[in-house]
Amino acid sequence: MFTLIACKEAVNKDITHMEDYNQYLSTTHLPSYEEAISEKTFWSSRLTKDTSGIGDIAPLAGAYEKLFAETGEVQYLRNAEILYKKGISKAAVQYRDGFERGLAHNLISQHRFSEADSILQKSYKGVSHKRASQLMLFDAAMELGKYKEAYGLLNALKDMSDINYLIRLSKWSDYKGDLDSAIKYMEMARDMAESMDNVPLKIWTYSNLGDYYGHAGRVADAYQYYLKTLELQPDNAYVKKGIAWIAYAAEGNASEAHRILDTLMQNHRIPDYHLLKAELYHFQGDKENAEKEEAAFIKSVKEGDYGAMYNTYLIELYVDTNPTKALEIAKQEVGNRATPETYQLLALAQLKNGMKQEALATIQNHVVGKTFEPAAQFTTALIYKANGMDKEVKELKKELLTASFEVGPMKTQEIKSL
Amino acid sequence: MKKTKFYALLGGVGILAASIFLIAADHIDSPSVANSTSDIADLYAFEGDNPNNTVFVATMQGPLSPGSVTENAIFDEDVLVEFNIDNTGDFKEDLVIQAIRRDSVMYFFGPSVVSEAQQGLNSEIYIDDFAGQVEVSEEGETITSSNNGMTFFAGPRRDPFYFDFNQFNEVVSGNAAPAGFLPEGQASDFFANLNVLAIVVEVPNSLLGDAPSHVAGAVGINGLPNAYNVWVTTKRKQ
Amino acid sequence: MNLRYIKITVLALCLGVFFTQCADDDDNGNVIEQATCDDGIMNGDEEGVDCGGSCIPCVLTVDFSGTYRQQDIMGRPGINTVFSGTDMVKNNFNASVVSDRADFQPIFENTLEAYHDVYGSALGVDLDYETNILGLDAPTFTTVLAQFDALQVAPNAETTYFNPNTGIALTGRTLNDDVIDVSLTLMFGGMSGTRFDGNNGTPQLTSDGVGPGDRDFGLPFPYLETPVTQ
Repeated sequence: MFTLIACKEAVNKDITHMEDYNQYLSTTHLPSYEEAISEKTFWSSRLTKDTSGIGDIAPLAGAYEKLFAETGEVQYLRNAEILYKKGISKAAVQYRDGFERGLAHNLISQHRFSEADSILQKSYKGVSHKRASQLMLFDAAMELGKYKEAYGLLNALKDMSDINYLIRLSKWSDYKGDLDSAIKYMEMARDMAESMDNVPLKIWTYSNLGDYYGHAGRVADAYQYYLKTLELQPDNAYVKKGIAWIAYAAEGNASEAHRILDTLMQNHRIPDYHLLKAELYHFQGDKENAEKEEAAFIKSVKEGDYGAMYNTYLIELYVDTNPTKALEIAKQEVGNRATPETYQLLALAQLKNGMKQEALATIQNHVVGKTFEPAAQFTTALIYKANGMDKEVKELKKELLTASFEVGPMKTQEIKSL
Repeated sequence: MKKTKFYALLGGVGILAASIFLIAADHIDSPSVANSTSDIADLYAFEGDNPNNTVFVATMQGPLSPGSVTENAIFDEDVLVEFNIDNTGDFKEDLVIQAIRRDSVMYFFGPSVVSEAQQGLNSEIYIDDFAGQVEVSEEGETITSSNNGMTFFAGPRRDPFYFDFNQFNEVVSGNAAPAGFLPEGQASDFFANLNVLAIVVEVPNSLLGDAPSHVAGAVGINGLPNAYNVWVTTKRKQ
Repeated sequence: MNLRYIKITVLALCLGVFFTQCADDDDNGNVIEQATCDDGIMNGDEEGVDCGGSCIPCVLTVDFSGTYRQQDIMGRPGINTVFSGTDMVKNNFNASVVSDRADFQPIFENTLEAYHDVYGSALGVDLDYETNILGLDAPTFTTVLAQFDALQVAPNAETTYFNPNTGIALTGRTLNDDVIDVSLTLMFGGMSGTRFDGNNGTPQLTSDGVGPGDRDFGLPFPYLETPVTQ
């Protein structure tokens, strides 16, 4: 075992207990999926091929979005996209903006951020529910790295009694690196969801709070919020993956993480799991299986027709094995959305292609002081090191080690050896 | 031409989309704008089986497809539903009947006298005027309760509203020209097999005061019987 | 279930066990001899734990505090949806009070004419609103819609949104009332009520062609049918 040290240094040994969540690992009890299927069946039975029933198109598109969320089958997302577009072409002007927002939301899921943004801009100027459009314009601006616009929208939207606003304020605080405020506002949103007794919003805020608590190193709290989510939605794959991460990153229990992921992968076929399994195998010193999973990831991204949705992961994978390709994708991705996160990947790809000065320039112009994500800070540290900036490396190293749960044991090892 | 129903319908997409998108999870998308739990679908007010009573019905959160969507639909605990009654003819509420859910129970208050200072966009609950309560019915149930002559119901029901909404959209977008709506037999009622959440309260007229002369007189339509002016509002806790 | 509740349940169970030994034939489960309003048990004539009956009303143990702000408002069916035209106007309407709506009248009148224009341009002719069967011209009709947007409910008369047979109108809204056809007739029916009724080569704009179908509106309280199931 090469990674014994990492195991020993796992943050906390005793957080997860399989008896807490085994009941949710059933691969046959899938209430959210079944509900989505029954909605799809109901609404599509009302829509024959040539009908123009916008009243049926909207909920059918919603059912497809749900099916995508439950299965990861990207075709469902495309079906929803087609329906929203049909709705836009058929709807009288006063009903159109609902479809436009639906389409924008769909495109954001597909990582087609610029398209989403331009649809929303157009919709906002036309006959539309202004506030709803502005809320989504904020989301698109954040994805595109248009932070000045995002901040302007946030100010225009200010209303502490609106959960839609609180969620965005939280997102903004997180972007600014103020995790305490991000948590505070998300907790306010949670309280509001609980006060309304609104199940979808409770699920949403619980699972997001779980992530935030994890970022803050409050792993036990994160675990509790993932469990709270599962109580309400037993087939929520996202938080089960979160629990697998805790088992691995906080407890060093890779085999339990594998077990959880294996149940997930039966019904929810997204490429992400292969990547996490690859990391688990690396951690276990099983290079052969790790490479198999990486290959499986690339294969399923290619076959899945995901467009740009997995670009960031592909860049990270390719930087070591095929740096030229990594650089190519990174340039594309920066064109797709110019955020500190995509720039740090470009810088990483530049570094791995032997362009350490370009990498440094990219980091200094577009990343430093603009994001507080550990991944970006790690890349920054690598580039500083390559450029002989040892003092800066040391500072970053210290800071990065506080995020050991978020980055996981493998990365933590790399950080230590900086 | 039911009020707000179609905003709720499209907004409903947002509620569905509030489930998390799991793919490419370097972020979780925000849920789409969620507010449809306060959207009113319809208001009905009619003479009860007992002709000395008036029945008020508010329907909300529709349209709900049958099955689990209907089963999972619940009243928002932060949304106060109010039946407003103007019995003086100035279109300001003189009496209000309030309804709000707490856990599995719908609580009713009123009819409460609304002072001038209390009229308008903000409300507090008239706790001292507690009128009764009823367990919120689940999909297969019809639970009612009575107190002091008033009768209460809250829960999912078949949507009573009928309308060829899809063709209405075609008409107002100009797509249906020159024919317009479809003739009987070809037209189709969008709401025929859909559900809605309903609050129903039946009130003795003696609790509502005398009705003012009918407003139609103001525009030269005379001879209509005295009538209250009634509207429903939803208000969200701040 | 909160912790307090669990505690109470446990307490109740313990007391139950203890008292059953000395309670003789008490089969109604009411084993506490002297119910009080602070014993943490629903007993005596209470309707909830320590509330109702001779204790404080249960409703007073529930939190109803706070201020509630208007989100949505509805009087007559369809007014805001049909006449506001844009979501911004709709939102303003939803945040307004019934007695303060003068500003909406010109907007509503515009929308009424716009509906005629949309149809007119699709047909290649000029169309305008015509004074309706109630004798209301466009400004008066839209004033009624904008400024008196409430259901008129007559306590001492038959309820109908409009009954063409008796001429009785606006005394409430029953489940059965075809409010769509009434509204369309008032918008597009002109003086005769049949201006665009689909006959004689006219477009059908005064009826959407659907009725209540197989709905049963003859039920006792709560009058609405049980939900449709799959």
